[in-house]
Amino acid sequence: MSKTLLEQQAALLAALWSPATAVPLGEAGLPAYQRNARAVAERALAAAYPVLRQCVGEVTLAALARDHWLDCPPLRGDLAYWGADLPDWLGRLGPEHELPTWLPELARAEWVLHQLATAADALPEPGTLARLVQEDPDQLRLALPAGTQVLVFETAVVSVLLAHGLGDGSVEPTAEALQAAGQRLQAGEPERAVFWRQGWRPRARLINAAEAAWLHALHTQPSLGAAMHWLEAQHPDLDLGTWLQEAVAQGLVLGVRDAMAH
Amino acid sequence: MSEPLQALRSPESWVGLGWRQPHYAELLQGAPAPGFLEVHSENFFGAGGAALGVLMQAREQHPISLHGVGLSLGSAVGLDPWHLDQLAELVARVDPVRVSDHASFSRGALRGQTVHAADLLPVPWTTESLNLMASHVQQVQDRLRRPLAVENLSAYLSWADHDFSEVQFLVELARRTGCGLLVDLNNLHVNARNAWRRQHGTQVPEPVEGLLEVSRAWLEAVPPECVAEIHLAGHADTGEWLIDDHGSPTSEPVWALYRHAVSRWGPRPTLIEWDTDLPPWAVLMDQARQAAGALAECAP
Repeated sequence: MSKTLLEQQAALLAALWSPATAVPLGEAGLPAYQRNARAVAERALAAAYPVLRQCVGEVTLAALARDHWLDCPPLRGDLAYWGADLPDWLGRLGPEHELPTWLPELARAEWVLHQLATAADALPEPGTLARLVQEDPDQLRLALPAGTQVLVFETAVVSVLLAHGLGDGSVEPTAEALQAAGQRLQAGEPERAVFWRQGWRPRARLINAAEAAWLHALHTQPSLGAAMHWLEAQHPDLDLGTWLQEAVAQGLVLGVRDAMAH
Repeated sequence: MSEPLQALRSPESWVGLGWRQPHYAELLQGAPAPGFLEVHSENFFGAGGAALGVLMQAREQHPISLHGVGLSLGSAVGLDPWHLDQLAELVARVDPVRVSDHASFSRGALRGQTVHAADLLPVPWTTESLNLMASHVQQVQDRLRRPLAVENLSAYLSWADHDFSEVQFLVELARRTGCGLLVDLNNLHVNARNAWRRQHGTQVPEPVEGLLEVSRAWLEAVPPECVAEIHLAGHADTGEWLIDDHGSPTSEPVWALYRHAVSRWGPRPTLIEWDTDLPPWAVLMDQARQAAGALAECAP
């Protein structure tokens, strides 16, 4: 490949990513592309981080989107993948930006929800649950939706997400929920949460240490039986019968499959 | 399709609409449908999710055209294998009536990494650029096992180097690879107007008929057999420049080019593109009917 074409294209990209080449509005050419990039960046971040957008407001989000675009350009041709670096990038911003200290953790949680939105689809398999009473749990495993994960946060950002209805637009945050989330944030309470997808809807809920350990065991132990043995030793108080009932109702457990079918 | 079969198709069946998220539910609930639906391929990448689910539902009832904005066919750093994998998977799922993208580049080197500009950046109309794009188009067609349609850009920059005119470049690309051309008439008009303004400034009145003649000459240079699809759209006029923003009805000069194009090429799949400031679906359907009317009136 000729160096010339490579260099020509690299030079245009360098100009597009150089704030110094920006010229007043109304001129086309390079600024037309730079203006489009700013608009694209704002739309992409607003789509991936709807709760963060509500927390900081439109103007701040636009400024963050512009700066993040310049610092962390997209690497893929699908903008749904741009924004993965935002949590770490926010963490590197100095105090002069006057952003909430919990914003990077909120972004980390919200990116998980964004990724879940395009995780592989899976339908509930209620007919398979009967296997739990018919077969040896050492030969079985519980099937969870693709992308399910447990995360721990130093601040109460999951409460913030939940107060905003996880940003899906269908729930208006209530004053009470926002106030409660604010109090938890101020108290500096850490939170654990499980993130999963129910149907097409990304979900999250707070969990305690025992449930977090159980979900971890389901993911790492070779079978349901092994996970149950491990839980019995670590957290004997967790009521698995009640947990299973709720998890099935919430779509966190899809069904039962062979342990070897991993 | 053979000519006798083409003649059996209604004018409406040739015209499609861009189907965007605000109109998903309305169409699935039975709103009047155009001849085909066009969606942006990249919006449906990923293993699953609601958007893909909706598209799979739509494909049961409507022909789907996958229009990409991110393949970056002209990039000197090559195609992104990840992007091609995602597109191939989507094509296998949807089995679209057409797959298209642009004669542009987006990927390139920046600060030691390969980035994607998320825009359709112009390539120089050089032999080197043509060889590169032809190899990429062939790579995509080999992978998808179907022809690609490649669209002309609205460009706000141009390279000094050129061995061809834009239309010569595209026709040669089609000749070498067997790809189709997706001729965007709004882009032609925007480019012609902006070229005039760059040369003469905005104080000199534009010779509308003269600019249309420039675009008609462009169209005359395209062999009918190369034309896979036509795009119609609106543009914004900032006072100094026209911007191809797909945010308003198709303008009269573009309708004039459309009538000329179909009179020369015969009926071709035609898309009404409207991506910003989306109007009600009924307004889009009106635009589609207008296109069908022009097609019925002018196609030989």
